[in-house]
Amino acid sequence: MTGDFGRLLAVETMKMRRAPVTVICTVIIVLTPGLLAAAAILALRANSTSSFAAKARLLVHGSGWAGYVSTGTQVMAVAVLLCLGFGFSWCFGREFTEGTVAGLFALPMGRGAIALAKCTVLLVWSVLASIASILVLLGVGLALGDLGSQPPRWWLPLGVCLLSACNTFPLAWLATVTRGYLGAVGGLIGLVVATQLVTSFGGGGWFPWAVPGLWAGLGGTDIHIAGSQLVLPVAVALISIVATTVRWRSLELGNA
Amino acid sequence: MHDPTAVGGGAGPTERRPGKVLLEARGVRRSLGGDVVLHGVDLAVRSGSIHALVGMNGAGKTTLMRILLGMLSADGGRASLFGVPVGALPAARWREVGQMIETPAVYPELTAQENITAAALLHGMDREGVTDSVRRTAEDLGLERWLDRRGKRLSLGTRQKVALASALVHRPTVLVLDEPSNSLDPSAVVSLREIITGVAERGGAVLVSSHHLDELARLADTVTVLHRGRVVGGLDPRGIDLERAFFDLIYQADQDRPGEAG
Repeated sequence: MTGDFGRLLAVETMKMRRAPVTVICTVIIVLTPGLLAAAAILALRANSTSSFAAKARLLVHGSGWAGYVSTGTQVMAVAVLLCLGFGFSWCFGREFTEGTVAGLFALPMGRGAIALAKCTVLLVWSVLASIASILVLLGVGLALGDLGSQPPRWWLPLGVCLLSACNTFPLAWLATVTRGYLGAVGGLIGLVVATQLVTSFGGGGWFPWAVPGLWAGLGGTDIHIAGSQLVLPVAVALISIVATTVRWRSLELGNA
Repeated sequence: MHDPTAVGGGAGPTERRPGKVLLEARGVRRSLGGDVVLHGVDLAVRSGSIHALVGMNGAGKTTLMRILLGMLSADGGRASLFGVPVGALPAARWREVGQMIETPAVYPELTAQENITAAALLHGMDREGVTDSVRRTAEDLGLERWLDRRGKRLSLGTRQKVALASALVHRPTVLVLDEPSNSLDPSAVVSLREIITGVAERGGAVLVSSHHLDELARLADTVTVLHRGRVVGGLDPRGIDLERAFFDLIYQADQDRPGEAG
């Protein structure tokens, strides 16, 4: 890719690829759902009386591929929100915390373009990590065996992953406003707590941060998420990208 | 090229011919947190010249540099680059600007080479020319042996060199450096002096701040003294005791405005 935006993408990609934060978060997103879902299935097959097996009974809805994929998808919803949330917070906040933001001024490309390039790279990271996570989930399922002949609903975990990723974009804005990643990480914790509260009061279906988990089945089989509710996280992402880009365009140094 | 062993103002850059104004502040005012940091500052840096900005801590040097680079808006007055208001400068002109403001920040996960390469790409250089430019700039600053080392493993002085290389890699016409010789070893200070001189001799404009007055005396064509947000004097460093002249101006400014003296 050529042009100023292509150069921005190249630089942001290089920074993301090299960062330990990205590597650790990716490993957790890719491996945790498959391994935890497999562990849950194995605990149920063994008729274990352990506390893990008791929790597995709450997570696993259905049998065969449906139960296994559903379990992995529930783990994905949480893992993606936490890991990408941390990654998004770091990607934007580190420029302030580490003082590297000064080098992003006085450049041919505007700061709005820099924010947009960061969002683009984060989006690509989200999609690639989601796909890898699903491939590992399906691979572990095949290795596990005895899940029946009905093909798995692979699109469900993909959709849940992407919606969870959408819900992390506000943290980019928060990291910019608070000029560091700690404020955004605090915001992430606040979102998790708020999601629990809103869901426990029955409003989770209309709370964007609860939608992916409920769609995955975290709230049990009685809760159904409508198409209009699935749009909410996408709207959150779009609004956040615009807000972050606008905020970066008007960014100043020494005027915190 | 200057003689690095010269002392005082004897090595003045007499061969350079300052040309048109490339970097300018006209009546720039700015308040931060309720305090007036700049009270209508005027400054002009011409092509082919090195302009030093000196002052005590908190004098407003960094704030003025930020405003001149579009990092911070002015409350009043006008800051311009290449004769264009800084907020309206076209992208192509920004490619000709190099800066190092604030503490030297490098990306810890990237190697020194990757840090400088990133700066080159962000300044609009094509990938084909980047490798040679990075190598050449690193050689100029004595960075060759550190190029493959990650930022987090570099000493403070080497990080400073990487930050300087990032400001210089695209061969800017306008160069703004805030205390560039901090943490540098004597050899790197000499190299930096030669690089800065080279920018001016190519027709560029350099604005540099430093607390090392003896260094500025060897380097600068013009010295502007900033005190409590006001320009209190301009000095030609050649043939004078810059340190004494500086403190005389500060003392006189405090006498003129006793209410502002700390």
